[in-house]
Amino acid sequence: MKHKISITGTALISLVLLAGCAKDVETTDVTGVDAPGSVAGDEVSGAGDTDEAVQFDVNGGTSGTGGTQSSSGDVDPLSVRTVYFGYDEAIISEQAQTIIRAHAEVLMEIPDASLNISGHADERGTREYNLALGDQRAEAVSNYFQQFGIDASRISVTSYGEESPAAMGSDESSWQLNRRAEFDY
Amino acid sequence: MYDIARKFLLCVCLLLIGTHANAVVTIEIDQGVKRGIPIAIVPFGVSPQIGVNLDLDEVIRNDLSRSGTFDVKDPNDYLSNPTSYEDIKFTDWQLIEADYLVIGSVEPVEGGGYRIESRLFDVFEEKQIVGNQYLVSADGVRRTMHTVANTIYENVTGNKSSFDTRIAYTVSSISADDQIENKLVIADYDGHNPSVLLKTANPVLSPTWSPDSEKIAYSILGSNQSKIWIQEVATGNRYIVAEFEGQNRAPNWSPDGSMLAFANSRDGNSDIFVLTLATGELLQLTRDRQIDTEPAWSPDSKHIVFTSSRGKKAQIYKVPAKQGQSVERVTFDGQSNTRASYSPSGEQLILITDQGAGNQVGIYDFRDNSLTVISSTSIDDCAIFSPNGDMLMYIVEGSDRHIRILSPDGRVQTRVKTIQGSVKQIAWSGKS
Repeated sequence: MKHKISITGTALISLVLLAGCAKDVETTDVTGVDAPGSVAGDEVSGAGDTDEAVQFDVNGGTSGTGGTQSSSGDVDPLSVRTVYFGYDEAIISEQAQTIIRAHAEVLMEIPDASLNISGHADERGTREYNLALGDQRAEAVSNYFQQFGIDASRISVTSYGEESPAAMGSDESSWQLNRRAEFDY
Repeated sequence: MYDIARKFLLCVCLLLIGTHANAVVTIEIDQGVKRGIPIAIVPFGVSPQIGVNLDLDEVIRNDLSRSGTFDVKDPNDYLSNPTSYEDIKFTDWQLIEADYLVIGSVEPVEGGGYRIESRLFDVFEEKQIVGNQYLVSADGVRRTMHTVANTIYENVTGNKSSFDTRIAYTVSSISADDQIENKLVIADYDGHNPSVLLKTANPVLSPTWSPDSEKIAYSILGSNQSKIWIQEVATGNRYIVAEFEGQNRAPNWSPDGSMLAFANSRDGNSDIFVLTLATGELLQLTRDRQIDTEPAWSPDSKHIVFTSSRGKKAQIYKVPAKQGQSVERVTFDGQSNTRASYSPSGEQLILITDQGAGNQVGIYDFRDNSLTVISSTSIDDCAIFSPNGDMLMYIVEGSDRHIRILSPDGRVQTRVKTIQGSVKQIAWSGKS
């Protein structure tokens, strides 16, 4: 079930609420992707599930890699329903937290909406390991939604591992788009 | 020659003639020399009545080359092409330094079918080692060439080959009406004679043959849950065996066929379980908060190796196949090691290793705890031993995804032909 909501109104509300919530969540500093030859901090265009061509840092708040850390002011977090991960990691970046928090605020206002989360991996690593890694990524997103007040009974998680890539290439620019969790409500 | 007819056994079995010196010779060669055993396979005499180019001797040449055990001499260098014993000049083969010589023929027989003859000679002893004759139907001709190669391998090396076995693989493609189709395919080990066992919109994962090669278990990724199925190869009948709470994945058949090891996530993350098929009894072997998956049985059924991220990065661990036993870490080398399975002897594991140059095929040896990278590619998956350990197979991922066979030393690499689509995973049957 997909609820069409007014982005502009709720975005303002969630941005206001952002500041107040920040202390409640333990933030984890993600130190870049650890894959050899990876292009940490690359700016790539939005995950394809929005109409706007937003610039979005897929490595989400990496530090010390020379990448541009987008502030929440650059991108409307409600325009994004995908969060990205480092290689072989299921750690939620600060940027991903911002996105999840914004959507959690929206979901608090539509209590009958259910939330579906899917975890994905890039093609490196074995298929079964990547399915389990996708589980972990989806669970990590689910845990943050729950921390922001969404009841677990409203959430369903699934993993597609490397079976459903967002980008078809076999290089880091595709891989970083595939290491992701998508959610929908 | 009159004595040949007498020496030739007119049935589908072996006849060993004269001095059987090959066993001794072979052991010495296997231990010392990297280079393969030099052998010449003469193009088979094919009756003009067949009217098609069957390329039969090429099947034998490819089989023997793939194992890395043989150095098959190029037919362009042959000084003669005998198809019968009386035509052989052994000096021709001594000159091109072939230790062994194979000749053969294919002829139609009255009432349908074909008679295939093959003979293996020791070039320096100038003696026949074995002669075979096979009576087969038209669609069995190519497959019989694998049997011929098998006989040559066995007589020269003293070991069994896996040329006469089959593989299963999964492949996904886009149909004419733009739908994703996932298929489970079985084929001869070299990719020939493929047949589609299953076609579904959902991903089919981790096929595993039953030890008698009559069934294949696999996991299907449904919209909410992965379930494990068993399908009978001969009938196509299939049924669910594991739909426990959470995800049911990565089945691996026990050596006696009575159990499946698999990964289940009912506790919120993936752990290793064993299901007894006859009773439905379920044993939980691991219990931790990290990923445990890709279980594989040891040939003696005593242990299960699996991939776990309990040490932060994925490594291979080992647990006795009984409840309540402690887990032991196996691999320490490299950034990660995943998807291990045992060699037929139980002395080695084949796995996917990341030593900083991508995901590659590696061999871990329990005897000296060494880990050796075997493949030259870097986005590898699903590496397995052949049932007799004479070859390795794995999936090369990336833009040109395909199945590749490696000799155990990695020296000889050949590509396996598959049906159209993107090949995902492979499994090797134990029997033909």
